[in-house]
Amino acid sequence: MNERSRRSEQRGFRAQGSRFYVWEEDLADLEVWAAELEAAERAKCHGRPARLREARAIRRLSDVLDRMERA
Amino acid sequence: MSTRVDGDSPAFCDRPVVIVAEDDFEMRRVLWSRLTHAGYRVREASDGLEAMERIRCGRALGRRSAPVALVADVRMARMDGLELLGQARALDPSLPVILITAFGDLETHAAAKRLGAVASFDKPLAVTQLLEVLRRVAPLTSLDRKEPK
Repeated sequence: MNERSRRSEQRGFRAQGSRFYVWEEDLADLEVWAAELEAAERAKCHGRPARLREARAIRRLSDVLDRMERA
Repeated sequence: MSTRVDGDSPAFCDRPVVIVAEDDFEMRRVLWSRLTHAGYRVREASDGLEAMERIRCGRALGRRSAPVALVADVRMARMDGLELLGQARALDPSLPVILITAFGDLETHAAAKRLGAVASFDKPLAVTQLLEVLRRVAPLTSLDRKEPK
């Protein structure tokens, strides 16, 4: 366990349904980009082009997950 | 193609998520439109790698965002539909996968079945038939499904 995950564990943060401890900031990022993904999906339902916005949200979510898994 | 559904409704997030992996833009838009109107929350991917990224992210975000089904074209760049089928089911063996192909030789259909696809369709696609299968394997009430492992 590296310093990053150790410190996270001390803070008691644990990703929902996962087995690893994560940074508070990562969880916040996850929420931000999940909300952005949802907003993009809702925009598409209104006929507004949001493909790039959706793709960016997915990419950012993926980046956060990579960080969390490396922790 | 213009499609308007009630994206403002709080119930939007209760819609079961379906990943559509298709490299042809027009075809992807048709599938997005038909599945969205049918009541699903559709995430588009233009190849297998993008689809895997969406499956992974969806599962990480919890029950309401985890995909309940994957609809994938067979021939795509970077990662084709058969490889995607294998990888997706390795990640989530309970995920129903439906394949569509413009090159529907018997070998392709046999490979799809062997790898665990619930159905494989030839193009031109009868979307109504695809929806029938989708409703059976991923009912619109499927949000009572379990948390992804």
